[in-house]
Amino acid sequence: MAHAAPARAGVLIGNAHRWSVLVSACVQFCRTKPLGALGAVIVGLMMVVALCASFIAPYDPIDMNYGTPLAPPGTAYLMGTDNFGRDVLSRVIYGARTSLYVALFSVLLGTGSGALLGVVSGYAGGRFDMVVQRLLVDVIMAFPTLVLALGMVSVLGPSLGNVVLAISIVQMPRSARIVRSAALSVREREYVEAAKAIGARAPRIVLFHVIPNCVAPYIVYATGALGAAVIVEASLSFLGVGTPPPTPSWGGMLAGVGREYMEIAPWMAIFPGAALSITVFGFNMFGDSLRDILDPRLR
Amino acid sequence: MHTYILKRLILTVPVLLGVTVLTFVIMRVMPGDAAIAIMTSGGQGGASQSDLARVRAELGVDKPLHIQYLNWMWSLVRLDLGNSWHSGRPIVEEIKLRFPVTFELAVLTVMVSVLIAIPVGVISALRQDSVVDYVFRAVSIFGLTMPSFWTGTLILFCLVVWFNWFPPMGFTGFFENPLVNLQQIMWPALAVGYYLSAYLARMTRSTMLEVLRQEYIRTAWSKGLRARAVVIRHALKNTLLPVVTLAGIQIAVALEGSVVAESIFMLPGMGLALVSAIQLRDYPVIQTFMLVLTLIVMVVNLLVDITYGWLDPRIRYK
Repeated sequence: MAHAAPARAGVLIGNAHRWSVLVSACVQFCRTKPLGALGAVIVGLMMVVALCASFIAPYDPIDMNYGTPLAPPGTAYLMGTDNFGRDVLSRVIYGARTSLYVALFSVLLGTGSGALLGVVSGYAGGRFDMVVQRLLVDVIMAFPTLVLALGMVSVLGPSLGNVVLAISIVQMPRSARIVRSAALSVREREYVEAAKAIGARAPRIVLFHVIPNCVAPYIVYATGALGAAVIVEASLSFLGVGTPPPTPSWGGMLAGVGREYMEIAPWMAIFPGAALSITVFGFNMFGDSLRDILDPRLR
Repeated sequence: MHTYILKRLILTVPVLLGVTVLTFVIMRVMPGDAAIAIMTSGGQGGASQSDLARVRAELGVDKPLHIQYLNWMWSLVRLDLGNSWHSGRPIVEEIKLRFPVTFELAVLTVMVSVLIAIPVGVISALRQDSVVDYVFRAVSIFGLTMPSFWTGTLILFCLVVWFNWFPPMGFTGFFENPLVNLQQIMWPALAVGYYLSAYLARMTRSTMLEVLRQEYIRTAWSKGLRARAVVIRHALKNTLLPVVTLAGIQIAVALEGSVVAESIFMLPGMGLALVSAIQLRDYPVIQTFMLVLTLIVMVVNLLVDITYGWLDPRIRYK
């Protein structure tokens, strides 16, 4: 097995060119779009925090430690404790897990299904397209986002899965619209015509030609949708119909700070609110810079 | 112009029907029996089968789904919106009480957002890449990333801690006492308006930048017109068109924001009623308010569409 190591090293060195291209692309990104790079760093940091929550959090986020309620931020509790004696820092860390979980799954489900619908509807065209657009997409989009999500969660019951479902249903028509317009323009391109001329059938054309060219606007929309999903989940939890307690959620933590605690323990609201804003900022900035990079190429 | 309006109206009808169907479907997909929910919600414990059957007949849930839907639509047309399970009062009364509050809040919110966004966007565009531009853009970005309930909580915090001002329990109507009324509504309007203004300011800035690059602006400059004439008479008019339509469309977002803002500032509007109804499992109220809020948004969007066609002749004659 002595010659396996040099062979593996050879593969690494052979791929070094690809690695350097990737690294230089990242450096270029940081230089031209510093805000976007900052956004990417924030998003990455939040993901790490969410994944390693059980290792990072100093205390149990759910355990109601009535010994030290409303303790101000100090050495023992870096962000203070809430009225139940729970450590705010740990709850903020676990809240990242909740928010990112909901955002990721609802966006994947919602925009994914919407994109599929948009591609098929856009490529098919004709009456099928009109019916799907009018009856499915326009109807769901007619509802204000929060109102529809509230209605669905109120009926289905407050649970994490239902929140994910509600948010994904709300996002589905919007991504369908965007992908559909991309598909409409791709449909007229020459390579699609060429594929049809050599006898490729619709599923193959859609899979190998239309979808890859619709990926860019989809990615741009999806990163924006992640930020929006975080806000919707926080709003639902704030109103008491989102993530069920005691699961920590930033919106729920903001709701728990009633008027009584505002004066004496403002840290209960400031830290989750700041975490929420920073996360949404990261997603928005990253999405914005992605759009700036990807959009000109589309034209 | 009339064909444009007619076409818009006709296209809205299937969506309207779809909205009522979707609302109905969402409400009827309830797990559990409506009758049991009513009989036990008052804490009355068990109910006999005949009681349950009577309640079911009253609610009409013993009939097949499409009959229920048609009954509900017929009652909507007659403006009979049913009674709240929780209070027993007709929902129409609730709406009459609460709609003016939400309406005032929404109008004020859009006014605040426009008053903030347009000067900020215009100045940002005129002084592109200067310190003022960066400051304004940073402020805009903050507004975009902070959800309105967070801004509202911060505002409430500042008011409570620094000015010792609590939201009063009762609501004063605008015509009773405008000053007290504005005091109450100003803060939630500011919270939601700031969030709305962020996107609007960015739109204004980018539209203005585009307009300033147009040839007719260059002609105006080379004619020797003063900066104020160029900006106000030529650039601003063309900038405001997409911006104002966006502001109109944002009434939908304003309504959503009001749902949360009313909870924070204890305003007795439709948003707060919806949230309370959800917590109380008051399904007729939830269903009706969902529908009413969506209808308002649809009507506003339709009006904005028509206004856009009136303001921009190119759209009309397409």
